[in-house]
Formats: sequence, structure tokens, C-alpha cells
Amino acid sequence: MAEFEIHTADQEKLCQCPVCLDLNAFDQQYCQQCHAHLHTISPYSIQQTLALLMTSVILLIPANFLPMMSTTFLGEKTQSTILGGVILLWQHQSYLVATVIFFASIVIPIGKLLALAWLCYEVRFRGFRSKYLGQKLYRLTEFIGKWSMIDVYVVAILVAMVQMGMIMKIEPGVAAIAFSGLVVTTMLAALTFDPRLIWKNCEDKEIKRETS
Amino acid sequence: MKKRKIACHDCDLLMLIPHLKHRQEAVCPRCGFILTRFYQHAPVKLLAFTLTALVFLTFSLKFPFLIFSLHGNEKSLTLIESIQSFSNINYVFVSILLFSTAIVIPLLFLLSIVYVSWSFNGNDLLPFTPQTLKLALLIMPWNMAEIFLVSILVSLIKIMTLAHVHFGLSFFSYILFIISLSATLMYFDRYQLWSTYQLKLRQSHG
Repeated sequence: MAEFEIHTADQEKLCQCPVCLDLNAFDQQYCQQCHAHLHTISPYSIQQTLALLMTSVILLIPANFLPMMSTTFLGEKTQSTILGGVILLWQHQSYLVATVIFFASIVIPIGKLLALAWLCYEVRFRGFRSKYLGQKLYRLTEFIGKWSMIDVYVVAILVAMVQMGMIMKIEPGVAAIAFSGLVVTTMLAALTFDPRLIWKNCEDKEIKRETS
Repeated sequence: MKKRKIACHDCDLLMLIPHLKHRQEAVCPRCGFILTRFYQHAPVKLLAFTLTALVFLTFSLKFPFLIFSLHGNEKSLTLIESIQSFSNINYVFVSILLFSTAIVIPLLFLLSIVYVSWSFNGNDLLPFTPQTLKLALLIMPWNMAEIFLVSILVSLIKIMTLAHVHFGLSFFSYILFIISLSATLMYFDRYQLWSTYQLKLRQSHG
């Protein structure tokens, strides 16, 4: 690794296909090998991410304030939101499950939105002074995103299991739709964010440091 | 095999991947992104685990998944019933999403790996090999089978105070399916597979 030189694909006027890792010329629109759509590094690519982020923020409101699940026990109907369900579980002393649900359906989606918004802000205005943090945050966001789906699955399984006619019945609430939409849009937002932007901004500084 | 130049997915640094030994991984020197992992006989292992996962998945579709009893009435659910329960027309979107992320996408992913492995095994590439490989790569982030497993456990703890729940044969089969799927994902490597594809393409064109 001694004669190692810093050259990015961008400097060599090449663009890597995100699907098959083949290097294409800069002016190609589609990959020569697998015909996937190519993106060169551009700060404007965050617009797509931002649009999806805004959708997620809008979906966050119904997902948290409308009922997620309604339980009918002996004719008595109780509705609970996501946070209400967590509090109820905590009161029933199932601390582990309460923590899992709290993290999966409240901390992760909101944390993910904030993380992506911060990444977009840094790309657009500040140019990443702490790129290792940005990198770590991006990888974490990409990895953790789908785990917030747990709550929707739990509601679906409970609805399927508890259909005991007159005695007890569980029905899904409107928040289930909003919440699954939220998970999908945040996952798409994380997938559309281009991590190469994090490095692109401080490349020149980096070259000096590596060669000296 | 000819060395192939690739750029890092995360930081766009151009580099050549060196020849790797068994269990070695190539890491981007600048940002630490794991570019590829090499395992000896990876294609065979990949296919073996894929077929194992497929067998366990078909098994878990057939038998009762969860058995639930309350005040003497017993009810058993199959895997599909436990997700596809939102009979209300308003929840069709959620139902489709859950069904596809827990069953359809893993199934499609595994089937496309089988097709690609089969194609790489012969002398000539089968038609639509690059498309199938691309499909597998594009649906990979949407596979949520392991999340479904965790949510089963969470919902069981939630309902434990109300009723007795037993696991059916399918449940254990599904756990084994998740384990083999994780092994498949370990041997499924973007760089290695496309390199094999390029090699095969060059061979078949002479």
C-alpha cells in the first residue's frame, strides 16, 4: 500500500454505478453493465432527501397522535397511541418490551430524521468539519432504519391473534398506516442521501494531509 | 482473476482490490468502508445456505405458526395469517407492506440468488442474469424477516398476561430460516458476484 495515491472517481471523470460497482464515464446517464441510473456527486442531490424528510415529518404527526391500536374487552373499547402503549407496558412492569418499543418507534424515527436533516444541513451550508461523525451517523441511520417497523408488526400480529369474538378484539388504528408510511419514507430518504458528499467537501484538505 | 478498479461506495476513492485470502476483507483506507469480503468457496456456500433458507421458508408456510388459547377456545395461525390479518379495506397498504417485507422480498431475494448461482455454474450465462442480480441487490435493504421475528417475541410478551400462546412447528422453522438467511447475507457480496459475472461474460465471448 506504499505507492498509494489519493484519486477519487470524481476527479478522474468517472462515475461508479451504485448497483454493480462498474465505473462509467462522466457523461453516461445509465450504467453500461446493469443499466442502473447513475448519479454524479452534486450538492443538489440532497433535494430528494429533503423532500422525503419533509414527508416523514408530516407523517410523524398523525403517527404519534392518532390511535395505533384499539382494544375491545367485553364491549369496552380503549384506544392507545404509540406513547400510550409504551406507558401502559411500563406500568405493567414489562420494562424490556417497553424500552424496545420506545426506542424502535419513538427514538429511532425522530433520531433518524434529525440525523438526516443535520447531514443535509452540513452538506449545504457548512461543508463538514467533522466528517467522521457524519460518516458514522450516516452508516448508523442506514442500518437502524428498518427496526422501527417493529411496532407495526406487533399490531398486525396482535390483531391476528386476538380475534376472540365477543370477549376480546384488537383492531388497528389509523396511526398504523401513517407509521408504516413514515418508516418507508425515512428509509427512502436514507437510501437517497449520497454519502460521497460528506467526503467531497473536504477532499482538498484531505489530499494535503495524506501526502505530507 | 484480473484486478478490478473500484471506487469506495462511501467516499468515492478509487482503488484496486488486492488478492484476498480466506476470511480477509478489503477496507477502504480512507473511510473504513468494508468493500468486500472473501471466503473460500463462497459461491457454493452461498447456494447451500440459500437453498437451506428456502426449504425452511416453505416449511414455515405450511404448518401452524402460533397457537393461542383463551378461556378454552384454541386458535392456530399460519405464518401468512399472522400478518395478513388487516381485513379492513383501509389497511390494505399496511398489510401488503408487512407481507412483502417479511415473506415476499426474502423469498424473491433467495430465488434470484439461486438463479444467479445456477447461471454462473454453467458454461454460458443464462438470460437476464445481470437483471436478476440487480433485482437481488435492489430489494436487499427491504428484507425485514428478522424484524418480524423480534416483533413476534414482543407481541408474545405483550399478550402473555391475557392468554396462553404456544409456538407451532412453523415458528421454529422460521427461526432456522432467519439463521440461514443471515448466513446467506454474509456470503452475498456485491463485488465478488459482479466480478464473477464479468469473468463469465468474458469467457463466454471467447
